[in-house]
Amino acid sequence: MNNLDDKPWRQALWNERIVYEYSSPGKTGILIEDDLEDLPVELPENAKRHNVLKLPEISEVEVARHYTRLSQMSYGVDLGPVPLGSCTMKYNPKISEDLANRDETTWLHPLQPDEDVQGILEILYELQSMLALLTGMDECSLVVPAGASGELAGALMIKKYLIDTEQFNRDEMIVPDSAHGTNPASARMAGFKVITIPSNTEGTVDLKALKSITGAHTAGIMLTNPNTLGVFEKDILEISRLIHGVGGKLYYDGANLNGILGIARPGDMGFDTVHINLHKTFSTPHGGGGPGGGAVCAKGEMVKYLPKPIVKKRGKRYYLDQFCEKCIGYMHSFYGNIPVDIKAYAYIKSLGGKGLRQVALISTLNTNYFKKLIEGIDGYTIPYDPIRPRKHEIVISAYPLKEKYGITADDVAKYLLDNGFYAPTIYFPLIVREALMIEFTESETKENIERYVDILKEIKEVAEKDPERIGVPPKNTVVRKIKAAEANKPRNIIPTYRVLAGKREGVVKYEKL
Amino acid sequence: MKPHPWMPNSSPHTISEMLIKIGVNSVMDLFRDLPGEIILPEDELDSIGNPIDEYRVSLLVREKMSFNRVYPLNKIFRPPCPHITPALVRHVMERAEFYTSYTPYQPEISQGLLQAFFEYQSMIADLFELDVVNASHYDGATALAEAILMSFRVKRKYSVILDSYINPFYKRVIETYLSGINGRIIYVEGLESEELKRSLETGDIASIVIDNPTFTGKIRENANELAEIAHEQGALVISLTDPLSLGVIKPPGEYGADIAVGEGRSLGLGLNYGGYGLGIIAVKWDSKLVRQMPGRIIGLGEDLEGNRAYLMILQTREQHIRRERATSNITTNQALITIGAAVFMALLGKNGFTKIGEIILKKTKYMSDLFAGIDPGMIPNSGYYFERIPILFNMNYRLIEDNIRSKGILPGLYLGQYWSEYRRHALFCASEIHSREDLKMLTESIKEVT
Repeated sequence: MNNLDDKPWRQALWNERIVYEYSSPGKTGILIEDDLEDLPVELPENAKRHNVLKLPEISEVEVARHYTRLSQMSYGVDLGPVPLGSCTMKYNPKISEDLANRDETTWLHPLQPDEDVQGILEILYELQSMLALLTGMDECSLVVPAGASGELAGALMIKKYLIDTEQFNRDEMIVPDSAHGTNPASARMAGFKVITIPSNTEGTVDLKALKSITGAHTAGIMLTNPNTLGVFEKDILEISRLIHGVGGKLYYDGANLNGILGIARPGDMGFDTVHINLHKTFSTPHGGGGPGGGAVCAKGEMVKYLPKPIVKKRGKRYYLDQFCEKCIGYMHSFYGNIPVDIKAYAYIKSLGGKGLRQVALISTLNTNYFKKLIEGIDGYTIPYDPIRPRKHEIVISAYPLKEKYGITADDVAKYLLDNGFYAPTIYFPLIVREALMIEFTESETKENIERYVDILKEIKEVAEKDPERIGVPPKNTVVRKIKAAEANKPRNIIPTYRVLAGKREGVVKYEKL
Repeated sequence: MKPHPWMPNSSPHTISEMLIKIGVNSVMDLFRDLPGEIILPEDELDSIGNPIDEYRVSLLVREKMSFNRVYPLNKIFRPPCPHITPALVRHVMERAEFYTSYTPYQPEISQGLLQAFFEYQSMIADLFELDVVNASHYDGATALAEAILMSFRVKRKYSVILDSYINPFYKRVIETYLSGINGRIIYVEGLESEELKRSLETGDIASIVIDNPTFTGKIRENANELAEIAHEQGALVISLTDPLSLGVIKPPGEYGADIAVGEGRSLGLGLNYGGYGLGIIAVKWDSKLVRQMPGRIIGLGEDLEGNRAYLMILQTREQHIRRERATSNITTNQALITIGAAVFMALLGKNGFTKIGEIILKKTKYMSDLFAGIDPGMIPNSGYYFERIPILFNMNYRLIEDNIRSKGILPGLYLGQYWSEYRRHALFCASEIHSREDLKMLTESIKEVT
């Protein structure tokens, strides 16, 4: 058993300088042949760059080392558990990477005629169909490069439908207080007023409250199911009847699909439009924050509003359907993050229908195993209907720790980091005090789930004996606790190297943002 | 259920241990709270197929991809133009420590990732000659759309002026993004200065977009003048540019741009059938602008012991905190792609950017001269061009295009599909990828069919 003085884990630390600080005049990192050396460069004075470009001069060897070292000072799923709630940090199969990162993909030009690209179009077409089947929708568009882009597309589709049907009074989008922040932000970008509804004591949509705010102004509702507490909205059919009854549409935020994949589908619950995160449910890498991949899907009368292009099939030929009579328009210069689509395709085909269902079963099993182990452990509570099984994730509260020992969710997070586990999502959803949102996914081992619970227990034990020591910030990570408030002060904002250099040189404008 | 290598707890032994602990008989018992009528029959997904092994999935994808026609890069002459993709860029992006990591919400354990993002922001800032850069958008089109929305918030006005010949792929994305809030777009042909002045005089214009180089490759020689006109009327200046041009061409910060955006695909990232765009947004050192910026920004600070430490800053602009009052809904961006771009920028460095910019200028001119050699009327009669140039044809270009393609060459993009004024034009590109011989081969094969 571990204790604070005996750490088996230590993150790699390279004391790596900023790339500019390796610069030396005249060095080069690349050879570029110029077979027109004999020709002059023609450019008028007023079109030319005048300032000397301040980029560093470094050899390829040094650039390779620098970024390899930086990679070693990062932490991902291949290094250990990343049980971040609502992020679905599952294993990224290597075969998918190999299949997408080939010259055959990299060299494919987006404006080749359809007849030149039948292979990629077939993959995209099949992916569209499989995602439609998995969500219970009629059609999907893969052009959205991330989940939030899918949400914006979905909200714009509802907007367009309302304009089309001359329902101009419907300007209210309902969003639960437990929703992901992207939901209200997307609704707002689509021009809706956001109406927040509270959760009931079970952590689900309060039907009574919902009834009281729905009516002639309701455009729709944006829901994720299971919700961000990991609880399935069991009244979903009633919610859907209620919203449809007053003339609204249901939008499904697919961020939490992992827990019900192949078990239940948004389409069967009454949702009209759906977005999916390929980088969550379908195992494509998060890449430190992107690139993601998305799909936005629709059913019935909403299909015609999907963003274009969509891959269609005529006889045996595939083509990009750009026809946009009712569609909301275009969400990307071309067709979204194509290599991500290839990875998701390889994943879905690898698992097959049965394997995909197994994903939901094992991830839900993992969540509930953790739930069982944490139940009754001092220092933590399971808010909202603790009896009900959770699905893809679970939210526990560290409020008792705070109340008794002054230990916050953030302290818990840093203690976990110090033990080689990535922290949970903290302080979210906003409806739980000192929230720890934990999602192991189907990729985590039973042993690591147990170890995680042991660390949570240990925090409580140490807090009891020596609360000062919990306040001791991480010491096994590359840096110790960061002074975030300081870094955000107008006098201290340093977003780029030129600002850092400017401050050092005493450039007046950089004194304060 | 069969054990699967990507699900460590899927062996019957482990499942049974866990079920006993939980106190239920089967995993499906954990779904007992779902309404029975929505539980999917187990065979419903059979059409996706059975689980297959790694070798077979590899065969499947490779076989499908073999139905594509892959042109050698030096035979591609239409935008987006092919550019060099240094091997190191892909190798760094394939570091699993990077690609399997999440958004660095826990900075203490994510320093390497954060530093790479900070370096991306820093090198873009130097290229653009602007001070603040965010950690990326999906692509150039969405970056421009977000920049316009940002200008609306700063100015509390809801109209923007664009050149009617702006990148047509961007135009349709901007129109989509602005449709939600009923933003207005005013098109001024060629950003002609007299008409620009007239349009600005209405007083309700938040911003103008100066694309330089333009979609058709023209280098604007009056960017300063256009920016001054906009500023005189209180409008913000948004510059749209190609980062690869900025070693030689006047960067946005040198002609007074308040906001600048670009597509970073040309920074060593490859074509990928249009995937892996990289939306760049930069702004000048102005608190009002920075606080309305969309997306993540990485900053440099300190830890408790005074060590350099990187973290996400100014997060109160973002959706996870500000919800419907956020500056954008963006969260997942093109993070890993910015690391690739950082590697590219570090490899090229100060001299590499100048050199590649000069080479592209010369290649464009050389190609232009070759076309002029066929017929002087084929090329524009004035101006300087970067990477792209519109070429005039006196016969149906679609027929020429098919003929050239049959020779294994992907020729210029027909412009008549976007603007009737360009119904006889195709947009050709040349870059460091194309040798003298490649360009000669192109123009000679065109000469044969015209």
